Amino acid sequence: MTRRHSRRTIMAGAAATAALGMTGCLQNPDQSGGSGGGGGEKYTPGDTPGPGSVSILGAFGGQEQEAFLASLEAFEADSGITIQYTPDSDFTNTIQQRAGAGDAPDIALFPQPGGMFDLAGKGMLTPIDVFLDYDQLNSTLIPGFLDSARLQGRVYGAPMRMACKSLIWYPKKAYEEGGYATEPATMQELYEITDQMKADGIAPWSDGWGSDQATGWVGTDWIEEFMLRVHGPVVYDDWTKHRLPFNAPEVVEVFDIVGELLKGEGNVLGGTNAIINTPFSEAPLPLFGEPPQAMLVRQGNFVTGFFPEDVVANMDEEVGVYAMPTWEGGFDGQPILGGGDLATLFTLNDDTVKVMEFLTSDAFGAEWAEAGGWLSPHRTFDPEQYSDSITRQVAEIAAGAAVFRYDGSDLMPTAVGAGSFWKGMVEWLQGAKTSQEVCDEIEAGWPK
Amino acid sequence: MSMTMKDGRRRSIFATIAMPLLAILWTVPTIGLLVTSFRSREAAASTGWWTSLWEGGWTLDNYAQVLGDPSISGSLINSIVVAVPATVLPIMFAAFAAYAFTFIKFPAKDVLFIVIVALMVVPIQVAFQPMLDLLGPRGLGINGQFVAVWMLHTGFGMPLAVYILRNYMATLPHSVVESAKIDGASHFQTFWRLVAPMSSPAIAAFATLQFLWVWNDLLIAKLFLGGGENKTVIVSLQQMLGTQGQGTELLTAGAFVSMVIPMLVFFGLQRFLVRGMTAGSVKG
Repeated sequence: MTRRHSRRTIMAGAAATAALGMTGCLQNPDQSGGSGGGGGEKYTPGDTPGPGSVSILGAFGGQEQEAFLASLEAFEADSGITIQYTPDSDFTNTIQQRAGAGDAPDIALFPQPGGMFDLAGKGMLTPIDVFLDYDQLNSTLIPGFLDSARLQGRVYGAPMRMACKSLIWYPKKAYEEGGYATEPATMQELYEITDQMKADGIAPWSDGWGSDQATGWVGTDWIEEFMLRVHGPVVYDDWTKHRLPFNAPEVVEVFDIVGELLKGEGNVLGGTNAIINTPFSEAPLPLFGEPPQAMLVRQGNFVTGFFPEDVVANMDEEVGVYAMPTWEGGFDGQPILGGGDLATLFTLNDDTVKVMEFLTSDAFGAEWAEAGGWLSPHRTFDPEQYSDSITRQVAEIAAGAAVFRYDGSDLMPTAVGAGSFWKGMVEWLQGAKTSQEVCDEIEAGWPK
Repeated sequence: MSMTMKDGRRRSIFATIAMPLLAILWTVPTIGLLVTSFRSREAAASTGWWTSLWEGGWTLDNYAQVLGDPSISGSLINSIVVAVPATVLPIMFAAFAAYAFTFIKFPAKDVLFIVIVALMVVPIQVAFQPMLDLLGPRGLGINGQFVAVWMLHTGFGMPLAVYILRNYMATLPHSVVESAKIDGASHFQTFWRLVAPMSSPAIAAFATLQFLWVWNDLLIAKLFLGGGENKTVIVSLQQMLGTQGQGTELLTAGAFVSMVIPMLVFFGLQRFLVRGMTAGSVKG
């Protein structure tokens, strides 16, 4: 792997170079050292005047689009730049086709890093160190975010939204009536709570994996959560980068641990059949039935968008959340699994750089936070701007994580992370294959 | 209900039972969609649409949100702007071609016809990347304009249109065309005065297919027209979805909103088309 200098360290004055170079070393080991002479020159404003309008392609429409545009209004008025946002729910394919035909947008917001790496490998994207202050950005972001967008030493995307996945949701009133503890320190303690629920005659978990052609991704999250908890971030990184084979004993062990939870008698409402047949968006509904049919749902912060309307209107009183606890005998710190939308640059000019600077800064998103359903990837984002205390709590959980790791299936090659892994999870849950068989199969299908 | 039909034949009991049954069976999904479009997301997720009469969960919110979307009215007009020329153009060209294939003798006629028919099996997906190159910034630079989509729909609609129209024209009485020739009519006159009116049933049938296909098309509209100002109503509906598919309840309502115009077109044109069919008939 070639390691390249950030151009900024070369351009800066000698003293500054030494100082910055050192901080760069501490914060960003992959970037410093090694040969210089990267492909990109540091961009200086004024090099290419912008046309006054910037086109952005993203994956989200509807209410998210409205909130996104609202967050940009003040910026557009100040800078005089018009932003044309086009949503496309088939973003992953559209961006490949448009970029392939030379019709790429100025900025694209990738929901997963996989497709971004494809285009970065073809030299279509500009690395962010060319036009952004990398160290400044890295210092305010939740650690680990930029690493997920790194290809051969250079980072091609900066997050503009975060998804926090390691969350367990419960219906506050019923949960408190049942007298269940709200702060289990370990998964084992949580299992004691769920045993209590079972004794009270209620199914502890509700889960849904259904997601049309993407059915199974919820299952991959379960595996990732436990990989991170049982074996810790080092093994996790080895696993997602395929330095550890997919059928290693560590992975098979985690499949078995997750199997005990999901396949265990009476653990999940409706059993494994219900998990496969329930769309993930409908998994939280039994929690808010009269009376509740289940008590816990493990899902990312975006799931609040699928809660019943009367619950959403009264979030802080109806809903409770805590971080998925650690594994006793596993990794000690609190790990958090997440994801994020990565803003990437196709067209380099004054206007697009200004938009990128704003999108990836902690100043972006006040209006979106107000509208709800959005989390800033910056630790320095003012939590008071979130509209409810549940979101503030989630932001705290994410910011307070001992380790933050990007969703593993998004980091794996598409053939695995959006293919055999999903399919394998479904077959495994149905009991058609054992943990070992599924892991062997995924390993065999890993692109060489 | 009488046991005999107008012409005196007995009604078949089997047909009397089977026909309504099939009709109901075929309409059930659409009715389900219609009912779901009037239900809230939670109601649709927790109970089946057939239980809605006693379970409730009715709402007009889905329609209010779809119709309240500022881009919907504009994209409905865009859809018409796309669909009308994309229906008329292929029919016009194909009717000329079909006339030539039926009534004019020229060399390599059969080979050409076979080539055109063979083009029907070329899936449009394989042509996307080259077409994007040709129409996009590297080629003509008309990607995102209506004319790009008109060209595509015309091009990909033509083989089927030529095939259908030629086969239909081949069944027309040649004697009519020959007598017109004897009377001194040019090809142009023969086509417009005789063949085109006589072919109106086939033209109407193909127009229906082509209009529906263009109206419901998502892929071509999205790639060649984009999601900007010129987007069609189907692209608009797709853009209502969030990252994790939030807003799927709007799609049911959106489907019915987007159906309204094709329905108006067909119920409006139906009489006219049937009249055209009978008016074009020839006396022997």
